[in-house]
Amino acid sequence: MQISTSTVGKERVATRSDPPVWSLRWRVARQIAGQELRDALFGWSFYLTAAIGPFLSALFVYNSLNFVAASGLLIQARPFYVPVLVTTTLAALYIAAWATLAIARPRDQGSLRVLFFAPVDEYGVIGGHILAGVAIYALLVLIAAPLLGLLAALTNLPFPPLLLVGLLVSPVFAVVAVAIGLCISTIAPSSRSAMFFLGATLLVVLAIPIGYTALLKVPPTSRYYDALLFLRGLMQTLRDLLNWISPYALLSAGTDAAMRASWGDLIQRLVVGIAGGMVWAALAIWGLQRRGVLP
Amino acid sequence: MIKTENLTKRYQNHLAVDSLCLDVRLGEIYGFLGPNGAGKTTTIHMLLGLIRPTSGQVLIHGEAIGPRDFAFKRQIGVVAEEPVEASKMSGWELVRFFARLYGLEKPELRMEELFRSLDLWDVRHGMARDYSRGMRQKLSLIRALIHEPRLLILDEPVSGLDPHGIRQVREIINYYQQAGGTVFISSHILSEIEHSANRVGILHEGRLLIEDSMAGLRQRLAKQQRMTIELEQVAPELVKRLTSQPYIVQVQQEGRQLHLLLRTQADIRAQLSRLITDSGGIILKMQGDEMSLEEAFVTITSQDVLALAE
Repeated sequence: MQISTSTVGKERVATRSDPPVWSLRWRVARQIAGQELRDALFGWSFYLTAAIGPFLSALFVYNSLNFVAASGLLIQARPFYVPVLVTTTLAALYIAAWATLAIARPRDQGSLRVLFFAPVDEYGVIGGHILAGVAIYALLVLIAAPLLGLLAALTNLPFPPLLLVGLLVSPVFAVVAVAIGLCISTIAPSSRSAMFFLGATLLVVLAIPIGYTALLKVPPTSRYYDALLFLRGLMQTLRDLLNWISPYALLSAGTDAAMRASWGDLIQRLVVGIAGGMVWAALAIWGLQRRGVLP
Repeated sequence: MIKTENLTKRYQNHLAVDSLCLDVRLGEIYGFLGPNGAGKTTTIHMLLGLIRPTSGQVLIHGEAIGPRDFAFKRQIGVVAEEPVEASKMSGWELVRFFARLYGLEKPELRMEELFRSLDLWDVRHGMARDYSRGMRQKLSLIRALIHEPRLLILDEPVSGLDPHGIRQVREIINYYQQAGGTVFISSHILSEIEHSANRVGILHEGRLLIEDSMAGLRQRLAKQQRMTIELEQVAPELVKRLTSQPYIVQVQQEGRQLHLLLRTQADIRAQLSRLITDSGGIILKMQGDEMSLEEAFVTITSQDVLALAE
């Protein structure tokens, strides 16, 4: 048996001929992103998510039309705002869940260790998964957008061009969702606990605004009013904080800013989104370095 | 090629690797032996930077490897113990994915050569996760060889392979070494190490007990000898009497043959003959044997011969 071994016995060449580190990392990120995207496209969950968004949007528009018909009002404000928000939020939830398993599952299975036998480091791996996550999100939005356009054409309801701007910039907020998922994935002890932690986080993110709204409804005449004031203040602070941290809050605020053509507000949200994404990505890299790649 | 200086790994109360000083030279096949739990895989993980050592360092070509270094892995090919292929890729796609990670833009020719060499050509488009254990092992070897590394690290490379597969792997390892490559094999299949290795390191409870050439190892262990005695009949009391002798380490019975591992280099045939005759045994044949690596391994890693390492 003969196999070619042209470089095997040669003495190691000088370190200067090694490609720069950023080039190696970029190569790794590209390969991982490409493979993850291909894997997503060959999976059923991608197409299910792509179908559910437009389906729920159609349901919402149908209900809106029924309301208009029943009430006799000929006014419908922002008929496609909620459908677009539902579609983008669903896509962001999907990629957050995808990212939550992206590191934890291969680590459980032992294949993450094998990946690190190659010239791969944490920056390349996390970077590759972020690229893949954003690409998957963008594809989901690209599939949904013409379907929403078709819905607008069929119902004769207006689809504001500014909403398209909201759709166009939404991948920036999706980066935050991916990075948070990756951060959870790197630090969780197993894939099961990673999903549990994601679920718990989403519950908390939902509970805070709902809780705050509930507390606002406590009348001043109630005997619990004074006792609950502190809690209301705390919930308000947490809610305000979430508005700047949560990718879903940023998505909603960003889409709203685009609809209102409030460009200053939109740019502010985009900057916060980019900064937030970088912070979470850095935490994910740190988490992977700290926790390691072994099961 | 690869050196470790006082490499140590401690997990809370457990010392997995203790001040390991390995020296794997360019162009040799280095056999890394040790019982289960000795620290072999932990050592390999530290060599590759997958685990950070508690203290000590790894040097490749004389350059210390830092905790964030990873470019050095371009020169290394690794076959892991218990190959795992959980991806959604075919065998061919998986190897091409890794080839691109190593910077090979058009690896298809090389891939074909390797797939054909290891009899995986016909199944290359099957899902890697559906491969048998032996096929996954071969796929791991292809993945490790695709970029023509200067150092091959093999952790149980023939595990799960049939005899034909073992022969193929052995040929590749020998051919690789003849071409100037360096091979670091960690294995329990001692006969494979014995056939291939130029030098051997034996790890026990995290410590490197011996690092020597095969000839040096046998010479070191020449203090002990092995003897085979064939008797007309073996009485059970005879085996007990032999085992209780201070100069005998171990007695194994195989039918009418007794294989003895002796603690001494002295000629004790007369003593043995007298003991056997007194027990009523009739000696048909008595012969001294060279110790195999398996026996050397068992001897070296048993606690009452730790002094041998000194």
